[in-house]
Amino acid sequence: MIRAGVDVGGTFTDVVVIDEETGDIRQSKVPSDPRQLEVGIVEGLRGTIADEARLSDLHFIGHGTTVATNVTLERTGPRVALLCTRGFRDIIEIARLAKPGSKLYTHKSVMPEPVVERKDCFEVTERVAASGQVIAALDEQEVRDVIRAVSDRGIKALAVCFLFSFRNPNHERRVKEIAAEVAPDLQVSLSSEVWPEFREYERASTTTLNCYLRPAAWSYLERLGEAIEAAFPAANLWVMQSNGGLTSPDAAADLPVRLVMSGPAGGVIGAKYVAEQTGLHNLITVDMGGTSFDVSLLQDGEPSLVDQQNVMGLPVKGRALDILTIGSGGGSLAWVDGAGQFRVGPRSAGAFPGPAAYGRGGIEPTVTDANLVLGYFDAEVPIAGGELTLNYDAAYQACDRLGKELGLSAIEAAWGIRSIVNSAMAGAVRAASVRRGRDPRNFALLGFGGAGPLHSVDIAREMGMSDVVIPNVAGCFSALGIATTDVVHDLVQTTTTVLGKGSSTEFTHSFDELVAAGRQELESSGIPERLQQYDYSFDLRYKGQNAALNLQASGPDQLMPAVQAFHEEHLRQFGYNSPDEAVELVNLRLRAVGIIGRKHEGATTHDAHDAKASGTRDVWLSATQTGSANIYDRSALAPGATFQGPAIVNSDDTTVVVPHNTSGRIDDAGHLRINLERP
Amino acid sequence: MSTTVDPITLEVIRNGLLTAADEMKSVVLRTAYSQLWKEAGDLSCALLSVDGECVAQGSADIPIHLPTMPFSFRGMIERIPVETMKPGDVYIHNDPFRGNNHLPDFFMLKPVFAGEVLLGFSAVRGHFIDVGGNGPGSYSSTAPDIQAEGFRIPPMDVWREGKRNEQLVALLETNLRNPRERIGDLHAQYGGCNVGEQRLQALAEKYGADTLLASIDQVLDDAETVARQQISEIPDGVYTFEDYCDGDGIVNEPFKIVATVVVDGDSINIDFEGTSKQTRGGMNMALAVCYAACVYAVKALTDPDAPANSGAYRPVKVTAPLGTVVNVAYPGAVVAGNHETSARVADCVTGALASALPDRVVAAGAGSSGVMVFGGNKDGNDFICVEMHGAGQGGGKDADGGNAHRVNIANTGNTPVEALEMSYPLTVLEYAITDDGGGAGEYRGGCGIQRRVRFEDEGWLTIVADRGTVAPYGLFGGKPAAPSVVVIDRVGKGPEPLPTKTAPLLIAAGDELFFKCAGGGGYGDPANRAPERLQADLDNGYVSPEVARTVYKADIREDRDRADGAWVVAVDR
Repeated sequence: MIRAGVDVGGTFTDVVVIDEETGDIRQSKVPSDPRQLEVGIVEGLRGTIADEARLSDLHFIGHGTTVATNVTLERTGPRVALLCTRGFRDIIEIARLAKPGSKLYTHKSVMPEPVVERKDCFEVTERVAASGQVIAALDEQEVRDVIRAVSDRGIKALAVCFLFSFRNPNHERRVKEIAAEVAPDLQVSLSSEVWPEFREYERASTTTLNCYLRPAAWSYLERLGEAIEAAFPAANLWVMQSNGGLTSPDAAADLPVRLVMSGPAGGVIGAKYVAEQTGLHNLITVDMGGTSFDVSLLQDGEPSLVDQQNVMGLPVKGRALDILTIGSGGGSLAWVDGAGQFRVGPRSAGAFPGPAAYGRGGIEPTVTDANLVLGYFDAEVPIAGGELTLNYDAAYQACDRLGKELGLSAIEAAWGIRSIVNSAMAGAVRAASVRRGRDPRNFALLGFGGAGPLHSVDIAREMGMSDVVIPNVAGCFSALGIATTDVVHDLVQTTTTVLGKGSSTEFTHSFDELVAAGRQELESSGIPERLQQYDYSFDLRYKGQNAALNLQASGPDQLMPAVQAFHEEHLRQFGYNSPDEAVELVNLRLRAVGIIGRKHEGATTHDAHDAKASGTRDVWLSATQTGSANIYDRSALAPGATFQGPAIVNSDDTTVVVPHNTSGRIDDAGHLRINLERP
Repeated sequence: MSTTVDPITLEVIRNGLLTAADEMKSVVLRTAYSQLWKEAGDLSCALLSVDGECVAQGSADIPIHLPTMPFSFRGMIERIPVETMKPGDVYIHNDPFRGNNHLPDFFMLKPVFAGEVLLGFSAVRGHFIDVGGNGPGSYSSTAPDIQAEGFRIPPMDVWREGKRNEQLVALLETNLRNPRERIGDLHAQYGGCNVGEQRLQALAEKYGADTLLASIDQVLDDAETVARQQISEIPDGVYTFEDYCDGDGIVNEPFKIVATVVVDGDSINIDFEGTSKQTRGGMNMALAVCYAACVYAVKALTDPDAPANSGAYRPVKVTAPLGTVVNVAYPGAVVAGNHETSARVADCVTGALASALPDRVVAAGAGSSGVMVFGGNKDGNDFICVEMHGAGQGGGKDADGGNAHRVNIANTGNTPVEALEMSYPLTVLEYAITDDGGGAGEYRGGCGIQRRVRFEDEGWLTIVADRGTVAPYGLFGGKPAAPSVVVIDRVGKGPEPLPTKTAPLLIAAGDELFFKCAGGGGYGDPANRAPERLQADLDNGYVSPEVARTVYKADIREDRDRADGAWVVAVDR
């Protein structure tokens, strides 16, 4: 049988196909056509499987999509209405009252624009107290009037966010029932369904965004489903969520707010697969493309999760892989500021005009230009999947111009660009590790994306890390992750209970409800009981603290061991703990998993042998010294091949820089491993 | 420092310092106990040079907290000379007469060493939700002097070579309300200082202490260079502006702030001759706070985007007669001057420069933090709730003022309604944007916010707000915003207006408070407002039909069949 992962980006659709019997992996990049992405997906799958007779073996298609991201970036969502408790229709505009940190000294237009206008925010009489008790009944006539007013305005989506609906969702549910009678075409999102956790602004923001994304997600997933059904009748389609797990297309269309990190999530889950293959269970992943740099961290083979992301400056609640993004990429521009200081980014040359080396009119040097000037790219060979070749002279002139402003040579300027961008990326790695209480020296660095492998070793060196892994499908790595993962639904219930000395039996009941909800989600996706798994965890904090820590539990009744682990984790992350203080249970969390992912099987071992170079080239080893680097063709390197830096490894989709004083080898799984300790 | 640093290393270190300050803040926020810190973020983190200049600050920190850092530092080292400091020491003070903002702000300082070499200091200033004294929250501006405002701590060690000063902690536990929460916050602050220390030490280890020290100097000097370039673009001249505060809660009569701004080439001198004598209640400020408000206003008009540091503030000099509200003499009280009167200082400097920089200035914003403090003791446990209500930006050239967000020198956020009701004995009945809250103008002022609260248990209520008498000004024909209104509705007594500042008021279960803060002023003649903007205002309810007619002079008519709103602006005006 065959399983496939498809990661659709703005420019390319990446496809990875795994033959489950032989373990063979095939990959390809095809151009994306934004008007009919589903066509590219079907053709990409056909082309990658190649053998017409085997198309019917395809039973699993995992899909990473930018449909949600694009709607947020382009703000092309529909008009949305919001219904609130009487007296609170402005929660979405008041937000958290504070200005964004980057706009502290700015006077004009400082707040992110919500997706719902004030005129479309409505109120009805109802009120639930903090205890969950109803203190004002829902006025159903007012609900009917609002729904009619919303329909009269031609609005097709209504978000409902009542105070304390995470404690008692009955009023919100009743609105949905009434809407089904009064305006059956109105799509209703309830905050108690989207994310039932306290903090009304964040909950309302998440719910309105869900409404905003839903039409695009619905129509796209419907078209895709039909195209897949027609081309591969035996295949099940699954959609990647921000939490690193798959979900059914129907569930994804209902809760598209869970898809905003669908694409980048694949890379992190791919890292999980690599961790199993290589035995490197502590990994920091770095994914560098043209405009951005994503970092994430896996501890003991598990990615870290967060409970809130920012989308268009607006908060989105929900479990998501903890991916830290900074604006450093191959297209980041170097410049000199008013005080004569050397800066790189955050401005980017983008695809047009692109780096000076593209010869499309860019004259300021970018990171890509610096890498070309330093000899890391082959100027003769077209770059990934296209016809464009790089123009060395244009890149050199751009670096030379910048250098003159700074009193540096062109080489020194290029070296400086690389050093500054490396340190900015190392800063992001530090933020993702040290700031979360992890020592990066206990991790290996996994580099992928078009530009990641060019910088991975330098970043690792700056962080004191000694192992770097460049996976064998570095350019289509997200698609690999998507092809190998499980179905995952994250559920939460806020409890806010101070823990006494008594037993924890009263909490198991709450898990029962979550398990029932999780089971329903899995079963509606067709996951049989034998493939269902439930993971329990608790959010705990010292009574009176704010940020809670999430502690895994081996079962629903294992609260006390989690409390013990909480004290230890608090000490590790924050440098102190208070075992005598009362601990508060804030949330129960359930992860309902449908085990359909591909598990790694052991690989055969290969003997070490010297790799054969395809040529040599002079590269800059520092701002003042050149050396001869061996050039290797990635496709010609078999498992067991070893070589010494300085070296450049070329493949269709990326270039790996293996500096001097490091050594490389291809491991048994086919990944390039670079060791930074002097060989 | 003679070492010159290459441009690449300099940029790497500059980024490292900024990241470190952000990292300090994230640790404090995640470990804090009080709602005011963890939800509203009322604290600031900085790295200081060996001379006490602020070289990097957290990116979302409070503007009024930061330029005062060097003043607080100098106050600290008067009593604790730098040469007596040792690794592992952490010092604290909260004394406005030693350069601190006001008693609730605890200034914590940790010297950072690489071996014997002093690299600089990490500092965290956090607003302690109670400092003893006059009513829960220690926040009434009616305390008659600094001694009545709360527990005043001179510079002293709170950790000595890594060991906590138990005597000071015992004093704090005895004198501050809700001591468990306070000591929890103190530890969070300590954790922030330690992170700053580790990051500075790591930079020194990597690049060498000399290079780090030289880079810090260079970062400050470069910021000064940029600031001087920006100031040079302002036309030279002498610019004066005056504005008012409501009074101090003891004497509820407006007092005056007068700023004379002299722009001379690449430097600015601001003097406050003519400003009212200091008030008896806490509407005064130390000169350090006045300076912070002035440099805030200058930075916002010159270089709002660059990370702030003390170097950028070197071109600005501030002077004021001693014994005035902007330069308090002992024993003047200061608790509310820190953000109420100081907001007016920033309003004056901005207003003064309006004619010089008409495209960049905005009309006055809310101009008050609008503080509500409700505290008491329930079942033997102290509780203190602090919430801010000041919000709404003034209009400016080509841009309406933003609605419902903090402006000017303060940036403390709110606490979610659900978090408030789970933590305190109160029910929020309404939390909304104010009707016609923004001043009319071609570019409208931002609307403020209003809240109605029912208290569910006995307690003490203190209000500190402003702009109840002299509303936030408009510019170039724009109208002032609607003023602040505070009303108490006691069980069985009916509504009764309150001044914007109160003594701690005894509250009974069932009493209700209505608190509406002023919004921002308008910019330009309201009659020139674009019809489509006014139409959106009517539909969104930011402007009422009456105001559209009488103030905007618009021809509007009613159309009950129109789905988006019944009032239509005739376009041919």
